[in-house]
Amino acid sequence: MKRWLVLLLAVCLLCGCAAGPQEASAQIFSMDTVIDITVYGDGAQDVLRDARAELVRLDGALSRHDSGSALAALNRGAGGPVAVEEELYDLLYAAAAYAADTGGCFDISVAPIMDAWNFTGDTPRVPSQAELEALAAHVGSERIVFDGGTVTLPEGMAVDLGGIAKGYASDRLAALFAQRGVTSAKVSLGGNIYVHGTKTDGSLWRVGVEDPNDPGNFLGAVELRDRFAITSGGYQRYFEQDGVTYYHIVDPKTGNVARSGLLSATVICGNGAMGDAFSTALFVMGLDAAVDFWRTYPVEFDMILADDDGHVYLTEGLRDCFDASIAEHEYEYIFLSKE
Amino acid sequence: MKNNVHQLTLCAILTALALALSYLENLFPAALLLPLPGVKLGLANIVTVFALYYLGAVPALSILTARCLLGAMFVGNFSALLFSLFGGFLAMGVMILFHRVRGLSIYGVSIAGAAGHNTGQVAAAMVTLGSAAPLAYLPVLLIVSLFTGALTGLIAALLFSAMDKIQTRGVPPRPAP
Amino acid sequence: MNTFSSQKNNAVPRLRPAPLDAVVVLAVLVLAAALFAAMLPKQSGGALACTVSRDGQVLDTFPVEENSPGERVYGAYTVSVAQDGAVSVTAAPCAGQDCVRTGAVRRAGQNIVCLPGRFVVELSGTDGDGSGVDIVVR
Repeated sequence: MKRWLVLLLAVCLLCGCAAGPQEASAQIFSMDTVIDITVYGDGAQDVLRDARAELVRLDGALSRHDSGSALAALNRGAGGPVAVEEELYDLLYAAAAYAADTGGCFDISVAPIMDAWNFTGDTPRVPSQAELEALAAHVGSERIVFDGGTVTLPEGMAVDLGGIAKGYASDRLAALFAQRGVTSAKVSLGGNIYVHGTKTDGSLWRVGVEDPNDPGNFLGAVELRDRFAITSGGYQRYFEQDGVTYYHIVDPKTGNVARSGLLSATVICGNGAMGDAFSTALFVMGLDAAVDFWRTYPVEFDMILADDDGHVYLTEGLRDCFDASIAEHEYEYIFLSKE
Repeated sequence: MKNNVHQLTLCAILTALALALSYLENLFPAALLLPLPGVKLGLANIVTVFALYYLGAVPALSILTARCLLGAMFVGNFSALLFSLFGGFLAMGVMILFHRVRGLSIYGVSIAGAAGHNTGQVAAAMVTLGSAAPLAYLPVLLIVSLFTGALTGLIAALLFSAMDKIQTRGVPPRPAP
Repeated sequence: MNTFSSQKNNAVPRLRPAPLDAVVVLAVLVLAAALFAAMLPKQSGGALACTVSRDGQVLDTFPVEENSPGERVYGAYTVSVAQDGAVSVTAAPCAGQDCVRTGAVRRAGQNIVCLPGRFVVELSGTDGDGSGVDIVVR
């Protein structure tokens, strides 16, 4: 009889395990996008609350359009040195460094050109070439002067961290999760992904990579842990004028919409800010320059490039974790090696 | 030679019995548990259990193979063959391993065999459908196998007791209970 | 030729339940429980569900099924379900129309967002073809 009781108890315990771990998720509208966070495990609610507070803080500090932000103050003070706090200083410095690394294909000082296009506003327009040339003259973050605690923007320059802030925010959330001992969490900042640890069953996160030709479907899925995945593509935010499609990724060097033959560029790496900056840069560079950049850049990262001719290029590090079977459409998948 | 004829006859009878049992099984609503054609409770395992102890592993396997092939011929479809082969052989394999374990009675061996049988059937269903979906039925079928296994064991045990009374040549010696 | 094994080597059956039998029963039960536990999340996930929310407040949740096309109106927004179960936003009040251009979503984890209106349509649960994606990079 005792034996059967023990048995019954064991079964009950096993069923109890199936009830699943704690889970907390939130949808937050911040940083000009919609942010979804899901945290699993003990104390998930507390971690989520702190994550939300951190995002609100970052939004307040890094938004260009919030006149009270530190970044707005910096832009207003262009032409002279402005004292900025360490976090913003470091982020601006990193952004300027990425601009230098990518040959100006990513540049936070492209802000006045973006304003001229007004992609995010109600009335986007195509600026004249003369206007774009005039504005492009003020672009070039190599001319930003970093001097210990102060940053000096040249006269006429304005910076916007929109191309790096979400990535940086995901870095901050990753640090928060690590500090709080979270073992399982996922974050989407308007499609910029960070997956922390593993799923609660110990398996890797399956990150679907959206198909730029058909956003309801996927190019494939990547199985990841502790990785940032960020895509830049022209297929989401665009407008049409006189039969021409203008999307929101601009080549900072010319001010024109970047038509490089790529439909989307996805970066998968261990640094959110870098991934955010590089996904834009790779898209602007185009296939050949992007591959050269990947081969020579000293920091490891992976990328998925979809061109407008049915090819999907993937770096060799993704060979074992990429699953193309979920793709609805036929693509030719080509793996890139460093050789 | 006489022994062989005796064994051969017994094998034939047991094969016929197994076939009859697997036909009889069709009357049981196994389809309610796993709604797939070809799934059976595994009552024919009574014969497997008996043959395994009474004749040994090799004759038992011969009977099983003959039963599966003939049964499929009667039903006339390939998936039925797949179901009975997967179920039958997995049950057989488990029981061959377990029937030598000292301390396990015919009930324990039968239950293990029934669990193996149902697992095999689910595996066959997964192969047939090319999907992992039938796996969802396995927990229920495993619980069911406790009962079918115990029933199989009981019938086999009764059979052995009866055989004891009509003790004929070739019956293995059995210690007093 | 004797094709049968010698009967002398055959095991002798124990005809009464033995203590060790309980171990077999336990093993089968544990296996069943473990399998059941492993499959629970999938079962509770159920079919594909669509959640419509505005400003973080859930307005509506409905199951997405094939062959039940229709339109649902939430203020100035219209959410359409196509014959094949694809969900799209077909009308929106904003100038950008990003959410309308996003097109149709079909799989769990995908969403359509109208940022100005803070209007979100998202799919959850399990999709029919089992892409099994946890999150989507876009």
